Amino acid sequence: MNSQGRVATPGSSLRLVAEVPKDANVYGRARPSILRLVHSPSTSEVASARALDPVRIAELAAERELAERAKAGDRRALAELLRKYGPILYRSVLLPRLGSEAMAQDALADTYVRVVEKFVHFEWRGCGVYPWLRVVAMRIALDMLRSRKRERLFEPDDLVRAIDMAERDLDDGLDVRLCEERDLEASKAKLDSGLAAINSRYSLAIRLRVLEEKSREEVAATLGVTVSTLDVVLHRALKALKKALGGDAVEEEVSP
Amino acid sequence: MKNRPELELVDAPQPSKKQLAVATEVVRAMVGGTIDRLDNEALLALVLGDDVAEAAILDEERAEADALSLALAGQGTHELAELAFALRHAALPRELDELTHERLLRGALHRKPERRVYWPLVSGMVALAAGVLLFLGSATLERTKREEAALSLQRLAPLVAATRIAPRSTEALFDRALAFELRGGESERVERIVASRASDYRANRFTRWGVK
Repeated sequence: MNSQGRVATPGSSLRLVAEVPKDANVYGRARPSILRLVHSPSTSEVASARALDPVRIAELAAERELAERAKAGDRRALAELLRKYGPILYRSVLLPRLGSEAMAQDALADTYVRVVEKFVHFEWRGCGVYPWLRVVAMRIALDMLRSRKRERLFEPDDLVRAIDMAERDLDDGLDVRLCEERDLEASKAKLDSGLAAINSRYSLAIRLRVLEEKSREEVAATLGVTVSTLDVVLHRALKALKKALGGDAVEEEVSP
Repeated sequence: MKNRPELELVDAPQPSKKQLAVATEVVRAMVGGTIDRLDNEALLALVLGDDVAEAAILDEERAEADALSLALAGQGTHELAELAFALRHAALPRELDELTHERLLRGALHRKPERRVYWPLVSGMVALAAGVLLFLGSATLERTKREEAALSLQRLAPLVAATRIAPRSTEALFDRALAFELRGGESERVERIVASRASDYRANRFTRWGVK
């Protein structure tokens, strides 16, 4: 591991991400960081994958034509692009980060308005329109996270880091599929790091009842408690998670 | 310690696997500091065979837990339910339904471009307009005053003309019986005329101004 916490893995598409718990130095001794392998193709891999895919090349050519028309003021062309990419933005960028369907829909509407206003400044970079739309959507999401106080998984600082990475992805020419994968992985990593920071019994209660949406009776039976006690355990579990997320894990990007 | 045999675990019963697991949980929680006091008591109670220490759960906490349970079922709201839903959306984000997406898209595409208001410019223009109005207002007021004064003078003109002291000879100022010296006495004569005409002049001005 070098001084920046990166692991040298030449030729590999995996990055090692070290997450440092908030209470890393409690009781005067360091707690170990949580290490996680994250799939992250290099720029050359992305470029070569794209170069070898004639279907993708044809798609990009068609998309470029649409983008040029949209830039010239053709609303139908712009609508076609947004119809294609809007649902992906909602599912992989906005909803996981904002944590509320209503907020994510508001953010998507604001993203569209911003895109309609700013598309004239769009410059084709060879990787399609999606990475540019993704950066716009993330900036809108950041504004919303800052302006609305809610209980949520992501904090504004997480979005600032994500925007920084998304802008690098834009320069690297990351395509829509890889962007989507990366965003969904980031959400799951954030969730996992939060659950890893609390008691395992609490995280089990949250996984079963909240994430897997199992019935109270089923979860109570699994934990060996009564249903009313399960409610208390789940309440304590979410309180503990909220506290753990307050300081949060610091993600250090690890790459070759 | 060896002097206090009552503290030694002599003949301690072997714990079951479940008890060991729970005890491990308690120790981990205490060391990690991620579990609260009440839950710690509850876990200890479980080791001792109780059902998660019902007695350790306060009424207030139970009420909160019930409210959370209802909020998770879609009845009412609770801040921790917001967090729970956020976790769910992060783990398994759902697709946006097509109708909602179309509505959002159309809303953005058919939106009239927002006219930006440059407030510094607007306030500057308002200030300028106020200045112009003030200037024009004061100029108009001044002109009105002057016009009114002129009008009043016009109206008074006949009266002023009637009561004004007309120009006349200085003869009345001097006694005919007393002959003038050919030389000397000019200053005295001039002063008498000046004093008389100055008095006339003031009287006429007062008349014209309407003082009299």
